[in-house]
Amino acid sequence: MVALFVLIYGVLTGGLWLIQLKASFTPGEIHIDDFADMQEIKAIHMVILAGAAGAYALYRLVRFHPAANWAYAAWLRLSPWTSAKPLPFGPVHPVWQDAVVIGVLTAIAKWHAHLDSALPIVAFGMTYLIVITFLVAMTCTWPSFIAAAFLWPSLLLPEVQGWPGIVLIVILITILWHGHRKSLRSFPWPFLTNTNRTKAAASRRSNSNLDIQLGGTSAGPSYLGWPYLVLSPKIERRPVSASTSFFLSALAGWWAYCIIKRSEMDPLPGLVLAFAVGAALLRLVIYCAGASPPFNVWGRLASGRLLQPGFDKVFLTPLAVVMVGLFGGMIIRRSGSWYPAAEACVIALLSFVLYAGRPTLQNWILTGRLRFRPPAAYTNNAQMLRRV
Amino acid sequence: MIKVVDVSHHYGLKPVLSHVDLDIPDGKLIAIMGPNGVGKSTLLGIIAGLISPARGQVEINGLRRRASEETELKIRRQMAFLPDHPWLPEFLTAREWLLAVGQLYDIEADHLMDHIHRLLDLFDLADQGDAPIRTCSNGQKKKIAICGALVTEASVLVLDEPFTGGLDPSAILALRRVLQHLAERSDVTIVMASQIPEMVELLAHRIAVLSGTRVIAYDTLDGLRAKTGCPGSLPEVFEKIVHPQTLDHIEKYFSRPKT
Repeated sequence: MVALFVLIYGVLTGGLWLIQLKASFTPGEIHIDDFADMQEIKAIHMVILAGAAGAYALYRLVRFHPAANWAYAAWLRLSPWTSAKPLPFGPVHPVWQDAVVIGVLTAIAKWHAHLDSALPIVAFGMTYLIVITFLVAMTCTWPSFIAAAFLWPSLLLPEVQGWPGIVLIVILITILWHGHRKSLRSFPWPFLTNTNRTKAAASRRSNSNLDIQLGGTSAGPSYLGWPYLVLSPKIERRPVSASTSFFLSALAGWWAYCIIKRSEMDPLPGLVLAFAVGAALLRLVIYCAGASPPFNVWGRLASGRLLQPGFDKVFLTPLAVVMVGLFGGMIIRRSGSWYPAAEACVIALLSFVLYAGRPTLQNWILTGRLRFRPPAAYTNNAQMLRRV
Repeated sequence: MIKVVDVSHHYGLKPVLSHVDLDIPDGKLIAIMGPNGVGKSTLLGIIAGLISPARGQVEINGLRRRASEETELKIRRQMAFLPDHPWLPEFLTAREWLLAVGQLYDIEADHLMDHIHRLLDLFDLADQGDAPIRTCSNGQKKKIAICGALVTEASVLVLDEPFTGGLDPSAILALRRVLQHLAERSDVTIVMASQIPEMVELLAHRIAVLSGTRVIAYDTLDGLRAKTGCPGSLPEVFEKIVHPQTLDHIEKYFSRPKT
C-alpha cells in the first residue's frame, strides 16, 4: 500500500519536476510556482492524499477487526480469547503508529501539496467511522447502529456546521466506540455460526459433534436446489418486526430529509411515485419468484372464482405502496415550503408499508395458496443446477 | 396418517383432479398408478406441499397443510419429497449436498455422515461422491436425488417415479430393497407414484388407481383382484380397472378365426 502511494504520488511529483526542469530552459514562458498551485494539480493531490488516508483506515479495520476478517474470526472462535483480553492481532482503535502514518500524510499535504493539513485526518476519520458503522451492523449491535445511522445524515444539515458539527461527531464516535465494545462482548457473532441450525437443534448436539460447513459457509435451502428451496423445513427469511420496520422507515425518512435540505433540490413528487412503483414491483418480484397462483386466469374464469384470497393477498401491500406514492405526491405538491418534511414523511410511510406490510415473506412461503415452480434462474443457469 | 380430503384441482380450464379422497394409514406404502397425464404428479405435489389445491385440503399426522406457519414447518420436518425432475446444485459434490440436506432435517452429525457413506456405497456412488454433481451422469444424479430423500430419515416420504430417470439395474434393486425395508417399518409412511407394476406389486400395501381426474380404486392388490374379478397380475388388474375393454380387445384379436 505504501509502495502504491509512493508510486502514484512519485509519478505525479516527478512529472511536475520534469516540467519544472524543462521550464528552466525556457525562462519567462512557464512559472512553475503558478503551475504547482493550479487547481487541477491540487485536486489530484487531494484525491491521492485523501485516498491514501482512507485506504489506510480501511486496511486497519480489515486487518485488525475480526468481523471484517473472517479467517481471523474463525481462528479467534477456536481460541480461548474473550472480549476482556486484547485482540491478538492488535487493537482496532487508532494507536500511535496510525498517528505516524497520518502525520506523514498531513505533512505532505501541508508542506508539499499546499493543501489543508486536516484533509488526511478527516479522510482517515470519516472512512474509519463509516466502516466501523457497517461492522457494528454486521455484528448485530443494533441500538448503536441505529443511533449512528440517525446521526450520520445529521452532519449534512446546514444548521449543523462548526461547533454543533464537532459535538455531533464526538457523540457519533462515543456511540460507535460503545457499539464496538459491545459487539466484541457478543462474539462469536450470528453470521459466523450456522444460521440454518435452530437453537433447539444446537442444544441437542453434543460438543464432540462436528459442525459441518460447506466450503466454510453454511449451505442454506437456496443452495440446495429443487424442491428443498421451497419445501425446506428451515426458513432463511425471518420477518421484520413492527419495531424494526418503524426504525428503518424513520431512518429512511430522516436520510431523505437531510439530503433534500442539504442539496436544496426542488420537490419531486414524480420521483416519489416512481420510487413507490419500483418498490412495489420489486416486492412482487421477490414474493412471486418461483410461485404461481394455483390456477391461471382461465381457471379463475372457468371456476367463477375470480379472486383467490390465499394468493391475491400478495398484491395488497404493493397496491398500498403505490397508493401512498400517489397520494403522497399530491401532498408534496401542496406542502409549499414544507416540502422537505412532506417528502421525508411520505418516504418514511412508504418504507413502513413496504417493511411492515403483510404477508411477511415467511408467512407467504409457508401459508400462501400457491404453486411452487423451479425459479427461472435454475432453468436459465444450467451451470448451477441441472434438471435430472 | 395422511388424509387427502375432497381435493380438486385445475391449472386452467381442464380439471386435473376432482373430489379426490385418500386415507393413508401410518406405516404403509401406498402406490399411485394411472395413465400418463392423469394427475399423479399433481396429487403428489399437493400432498408434498408444492401445490395448493383449488379445493379441498391435505392433513399430515393431524396437521392441515398451510394452515399456519408452525404447522407447515412441523409437517415439513416430517416429510421429504422426491420430485420426478429434481434440480441439484451442480457446484456441490454429492456428499456435500447430502450433508446439507441432512442438516436441514437436524440429523445428528456423526450419524448423518455414516448414513451418507452407506447410501453412497449402496448406490455405487462411492467414487463419484466427492466429485462435483455436474460431472455425474443423469442416472447418477437421479441416484443422488434418491439418496437426498432417504438421508432426511423423514417419517413421510413422497416419491414421484423413483424408479425412472436412467437408474441402472443395481440401483433399481438397491432402491427396491430400501423401500421394502422401509415398508416393513411402522413409523415410515410412503406415497409413491410409479408406472412399473412389478415394483408396485412387490412393494405396495395398497394401490390407488387414478383415472379421469378421480381415484377410481383404492385397495390392496387382492382387494382389487376381488373387485375386478380378475385373478391375474397387477398389469391385468390395472387394465381391467382403467380400460376394461382392453383385455377383451386383446382376447378378440388373438381369438380371430384363421381364414
